[in-house]
Amino acid sequence: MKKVLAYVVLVLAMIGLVACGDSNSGYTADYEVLSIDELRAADQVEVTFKIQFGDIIQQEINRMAEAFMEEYPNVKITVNIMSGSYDDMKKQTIEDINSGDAPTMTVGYADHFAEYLISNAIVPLDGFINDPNVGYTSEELEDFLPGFIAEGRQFDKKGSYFSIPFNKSTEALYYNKDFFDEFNLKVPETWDELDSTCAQIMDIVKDIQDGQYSWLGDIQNNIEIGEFVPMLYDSNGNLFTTSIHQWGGEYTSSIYKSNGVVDVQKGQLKFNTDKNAKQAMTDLQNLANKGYFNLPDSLELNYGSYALNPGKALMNIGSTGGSSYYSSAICEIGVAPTLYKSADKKYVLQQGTNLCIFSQASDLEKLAAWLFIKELVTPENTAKFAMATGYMPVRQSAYDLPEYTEFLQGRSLAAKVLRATSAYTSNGWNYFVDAAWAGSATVRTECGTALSSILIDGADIQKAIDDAVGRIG
Amino acid sequence: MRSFKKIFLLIIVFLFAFVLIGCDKEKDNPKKDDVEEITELDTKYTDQLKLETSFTGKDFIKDGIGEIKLVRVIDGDTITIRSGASETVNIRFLGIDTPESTGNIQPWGKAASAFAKEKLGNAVSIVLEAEGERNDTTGRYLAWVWYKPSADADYRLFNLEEIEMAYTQYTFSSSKYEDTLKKAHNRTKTSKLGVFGQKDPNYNYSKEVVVTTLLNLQYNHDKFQTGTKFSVTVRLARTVGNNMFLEDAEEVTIEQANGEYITGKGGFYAFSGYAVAYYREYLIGDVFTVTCQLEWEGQYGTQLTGLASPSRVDSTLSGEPEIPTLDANDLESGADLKPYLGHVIHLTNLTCDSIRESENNGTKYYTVTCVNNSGKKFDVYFSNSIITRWRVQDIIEVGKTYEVIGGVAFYEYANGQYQISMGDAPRYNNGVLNEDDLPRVNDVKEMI
Repeated sequence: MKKVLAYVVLVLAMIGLVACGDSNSGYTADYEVLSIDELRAADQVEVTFKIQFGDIIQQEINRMAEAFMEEYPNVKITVNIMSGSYDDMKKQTIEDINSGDAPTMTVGYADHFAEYLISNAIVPLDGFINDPNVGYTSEELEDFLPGFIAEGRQFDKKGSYFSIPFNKSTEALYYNKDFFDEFNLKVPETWDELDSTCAQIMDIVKDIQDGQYSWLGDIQNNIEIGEFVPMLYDSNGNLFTTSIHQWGGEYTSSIYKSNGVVDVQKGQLKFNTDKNAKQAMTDLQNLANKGYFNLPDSLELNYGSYALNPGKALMNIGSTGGSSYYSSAICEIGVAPTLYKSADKKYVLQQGTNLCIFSQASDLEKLAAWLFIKELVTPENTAKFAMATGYMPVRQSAYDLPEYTEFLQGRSLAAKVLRATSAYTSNGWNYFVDAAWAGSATVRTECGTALSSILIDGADIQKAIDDAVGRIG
Repeated sequence: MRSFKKIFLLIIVFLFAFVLIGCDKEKDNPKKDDVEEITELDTKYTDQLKLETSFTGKDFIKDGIGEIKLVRVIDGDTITIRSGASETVNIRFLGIDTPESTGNIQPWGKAASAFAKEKLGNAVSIVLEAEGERNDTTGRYLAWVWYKPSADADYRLFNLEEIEMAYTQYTFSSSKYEDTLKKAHNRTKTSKLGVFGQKDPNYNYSKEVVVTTLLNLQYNHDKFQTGTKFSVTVRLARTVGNNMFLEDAEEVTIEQANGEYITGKGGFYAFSGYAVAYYREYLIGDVFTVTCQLEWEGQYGTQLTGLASPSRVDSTLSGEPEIPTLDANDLESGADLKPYLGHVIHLTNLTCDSIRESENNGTKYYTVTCVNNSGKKFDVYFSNSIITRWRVQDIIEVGKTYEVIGGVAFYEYANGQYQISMGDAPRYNNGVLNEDDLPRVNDVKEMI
């Protein structure tokens, strides 16, 4: 009897382990990696690729899809263009998942993937990555910029790959180059240098007449009406997280379940009790109080470019994807890496989407999608994509391709931006990754709102942070 | 022994429960929603939904709801209106995002725009209702658009009707109408019609790029479907921020529809919008090849859009653009500039009559209205913040006479609907000219 019972227990335990393998040992690739021969031998395989991009990126994706379909004539890549924002696309995708109509692959942010993972709707890509025939060699895998690839590896302790980076941008410092050239000013590299540079700027501009320099507009008038701030920062949320990392603080962290899997439904706030985070806010508020620095909202503008363009600001840190917003500037626009606090913490933010594959797809569709993902991010394609769109190459080797290095020498603002941000691949810079869970985007928004009140309204720092925590709930 | 058995039985039951509970959470496939499947489009939800908020005596801008006067339909999800005594403002429809019909033209974009023109253009009343954020990042007001097709009809939610007619998808934004919009979206999606999976019969999906000339596009545009991609080799005549006036790099001869041949250079305004910055990539006179699409007599007139794949400069062909000279005293109105649409011209004898200033997102824009010697009016427009570089208030004075070099552009409210659109101003650094800008130096010149 004991033996029988022991067998029953054993069998049940095995059933438990097999059926619930994911929850006991983290996510596993519960699909079979088929061979390329099996794919070629199949009837038509359709890969639906859901995107939310403008025309230029669509053209690039179409170009790569056509090349891929020539290589695999029985694979059809159908690009579904969704409307609205990325967040809208996530909501639509969840609808599709719930109605059993998920695409084969899509693009998204890490917090989107966290939401998809609530119902295991996307698969870890490790099965493909590690496959000797269709995967990556270790050299190829290391060729991805570490911070970019790390974003998709945060959902379990063993670092399963849930996504591959695709269209990535970051932040850069745009500045009035005419002004800096004329007065032999060094473009600041650190927040401390910004303080002294702004002091110099305020000293210089007080003696300039309206219209004396065509690239400075009506400077005295702008100062008089309170519409001149030397330095702006486009995104309050980006500034909040970046400054905390640069000041050595902690923003948020993931919560791990006992099985090593991240709890994708909640995370842990750290910034509210972190003294370095508070110091970052204090230092930024001091710069704002001196009139050196603020957010565009302080001038009732949505973007810093709207102030830099007519000479109401001389510097702005904004997305590298937004360079065309400076095309009507009254000055020559220069581009430099973003600021940092200390050389040992040169953290810079990454933005943009990653590629993932949905579990509802068949194994053949998954394989075709994986091969297409590989095509989208070959060194050559990621470089071409960058040159056409202004996004950054996601592979190290792409930065050394002759076509790309030649492009960087161009006169266009897009070339200048990519040239400046090439610095982030070395020189001690690191792309940081924040913990993602369903709802982490709300934390970021509320923290941004807190920072707005700290910088624009001079709010008490701890109270603003506590209020943000209260709103987050 | 009996208690031992009981313990084992309990363990087994516990393990079963564990397996079932554990698996249920991780492995269950999502339930398929009950969605009515359709094969033909209808307006089931639009017919049912009623406007329930009172708007009597209210103003949309001030109160968040109110009847408005439609000024124009820009595209499928954007209109220009006048609310009460306010100046004209642009409205972006909430909850939807129709394909583009201007700029980068997309399948179904033109159809969505035509649908909006038909329904809203013929409505006897339009009421706008705000919800949540009042403006988008470009300053446009956001609204639900209720329209009354006839005097005795109920108001209909146009945003919803566009979803049901498959001109747009629902953007799944939070709203008091969210439930209805979601149901409409999911139901319309099953039809696989319109934007939900049907090919736009009036759009050219071909990836083929037609190598042609600007002159051919001017005279033979009817031969090409919306969406056709062209490759043209052009000379930069002037830049307007990120946008450009382009002309054929060389004189060409083309056959017109009537069989007659014409020789010359075509010219177009090329709208780059917020695409990757071409800004400063090219200098005036540079020749290069670029792919583009054509927008013929659209909201912003005739222009090249969707610019992509710009080539390197062909230095063997580069050189000054050809700029014809016209005397405003020989012209009757801006309408006489029409033959030069898209070309950069040199126009003389313009006496400044008035300067009108406007501002958007911190950037100033000026329209200088000029007259010729018989009082006929012509508009000269300074867009973007180029004006700050020009400092137009310093270089143009009311009562003085000027000659200008600028591109001819369509603007429906300009005198004669065509105006001179000034290019970027020359840059000066403490009085010293940036040598790249030498060709622009005489773009505005007083006539003594």
